[in-house]
Amino acid sequence: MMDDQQPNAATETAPDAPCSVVLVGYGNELRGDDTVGPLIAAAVAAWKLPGIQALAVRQLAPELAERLAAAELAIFVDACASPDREEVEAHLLHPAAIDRALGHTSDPRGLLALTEALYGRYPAAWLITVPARSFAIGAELSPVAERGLAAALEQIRDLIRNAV
Amino acid sequence: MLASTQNSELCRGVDMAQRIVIDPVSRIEGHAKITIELDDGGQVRDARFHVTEFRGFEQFCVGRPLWEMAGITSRICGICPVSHLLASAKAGDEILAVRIPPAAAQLRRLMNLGQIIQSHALSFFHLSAPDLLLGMDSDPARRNMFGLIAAAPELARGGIRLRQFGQQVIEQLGGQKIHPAWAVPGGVRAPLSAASRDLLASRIPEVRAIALDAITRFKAMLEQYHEEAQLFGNFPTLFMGLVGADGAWEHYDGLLRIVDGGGQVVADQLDPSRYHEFIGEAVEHWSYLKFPYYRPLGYPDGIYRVGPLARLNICTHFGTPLADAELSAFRAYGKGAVTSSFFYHYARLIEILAAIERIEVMLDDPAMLSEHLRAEAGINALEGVGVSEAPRGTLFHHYQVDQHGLITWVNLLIATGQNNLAMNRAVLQIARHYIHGPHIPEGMLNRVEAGIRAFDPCLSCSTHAVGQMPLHLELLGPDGEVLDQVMR
Repeated sequence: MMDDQQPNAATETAPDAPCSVVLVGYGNELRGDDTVGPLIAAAVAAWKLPGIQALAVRQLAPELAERLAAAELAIFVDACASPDREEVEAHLLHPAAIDRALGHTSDPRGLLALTEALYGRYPAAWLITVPARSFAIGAELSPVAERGLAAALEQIRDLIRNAV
Repeated sequence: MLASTQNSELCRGVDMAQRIVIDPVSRIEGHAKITIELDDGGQVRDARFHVTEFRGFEQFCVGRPLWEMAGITSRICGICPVSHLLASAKAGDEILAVRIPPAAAQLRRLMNLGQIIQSHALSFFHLSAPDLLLGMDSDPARRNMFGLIAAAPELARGGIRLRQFGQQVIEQLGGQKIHPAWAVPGGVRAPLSAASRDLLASRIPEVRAIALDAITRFKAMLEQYHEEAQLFGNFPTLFMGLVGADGAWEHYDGLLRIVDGGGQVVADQLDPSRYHEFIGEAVEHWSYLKFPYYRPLGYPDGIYRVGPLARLNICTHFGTPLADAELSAFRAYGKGAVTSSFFYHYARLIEILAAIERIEVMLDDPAMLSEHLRAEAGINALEGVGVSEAPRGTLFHHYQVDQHGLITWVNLLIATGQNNLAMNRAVLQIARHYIHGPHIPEGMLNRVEAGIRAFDPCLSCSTHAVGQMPLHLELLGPDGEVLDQVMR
């Protein structure tokens, strides 16, 4: 019989009050290194910094646009498949050109474009990519992703420190 | 492997053999292809809606413990995981032979209503509204969510807020928006907190206003789609779904009712657990999606539809004032039953409104905060059928287990699959009316796609039976000779 535990509190359940920094860690928590985004979001949420909202999500859904519109800085965190790369990378983002259909999921640039279209503004935005080796079924990180997780948290701390 | 021009980009073309292929069909859940065949005179001879993906849950679930099935089957889909979660849990209830606590049943209902809201909102605002509100002949580059935002920003924002509310209901109950590990055989795993109840209740006025505004806008634009409304999959079929004891609109329990295209009851008070006695499943070699049919009328005459259009055709009332008012207006578009698939959109919006009204009433009940939520039992039956109304229609999870609770057999009868015959007929009807000859304006092809979108098919859910058909693209000459082919 299944263990009768309370469902885990989700970092998706974020306060409705606007925050100056919104961090969105996204990925599939059952596909190996793809869980690094949500793990980083959970770690940032545990810092309990004022004005910082950390969201662990599986997809970048359109509903995130409202939170982004109220923020000054958005940080997206995702795993990046790479057989050779070892370093965490930070990419400054701008909205994508709005010449394609938007479904119920998006990428960071598409989401920024949606935010701008809906609310007339979008936050400064960065994409932190963590090198990933394996997306096999399972919940464990590869050693590369583990190291990347720690390095990403350092970069995120710097971004937040510079923003607030 | 398909030719690269077809593999990643929309392929719309008329080849020398007068076969029109729309691949992939855009703005639907999952993957499909439509093939339209023209005769020598350039008129539509046949059209087929091919589902080109295979999932296989019915096979790889064999051997798994019953307790895992809710979690496994909820991952059939990221749009309607709650539907599978609830149907699976209900099948488990049958195998445990328990009656779950009333509060657990009410909370499951609450989550299902949230699911209906978010799924219908996605379908209308994200997938179909660009066609409906911008026009099917509008610039394809702008006939999308961004075009909708530019033309009707408040509507677009409202649609996102509405879907977000539905997901919030799911999240407040299950802890997460997608694949909540919450409903289990015997009940549910967590209660509704007072804080969650208050949060959801506070949003009712806003989302009700959004739903009413969407309905008003939809009805206002119906006149410009009079032709589509008459021709978009408009033909008599049976309609099937769950109804309450008094004929009220149902979404979680109840018995099955089947009505015909004139609204006459064909069968009533049917036990859903005995679905296999009156629903058969046919297979065609050209699609991974099965073809369910009403057995007494045979295949394919036993064509029937499920989902919002069916639910509104079979029920007598909603029992909530705003939705009942819209139901009366809805019925004016048919004689006994509304038969045009175009009105799935209207039915969807009315169901959103009904769900909001019902949630408001439920949240007012102190019993919703009960923590008595589980009925504990072991394996007491070796077979169970769980049935509920998913946003797209009636969903059946049928399991057989051994005495240890390990799955020995699974059948999943999915809503979208039950609309398969009707979707194919709709494609043929639309194609025959709008397509004459090999030179087709963009808007006409989009009408064929839009006809499919009216059903809001979830193809990711629907394809689980073992199939042997490879994915195959054939280019046929006028005499049927295969000129070229690719396989994967």
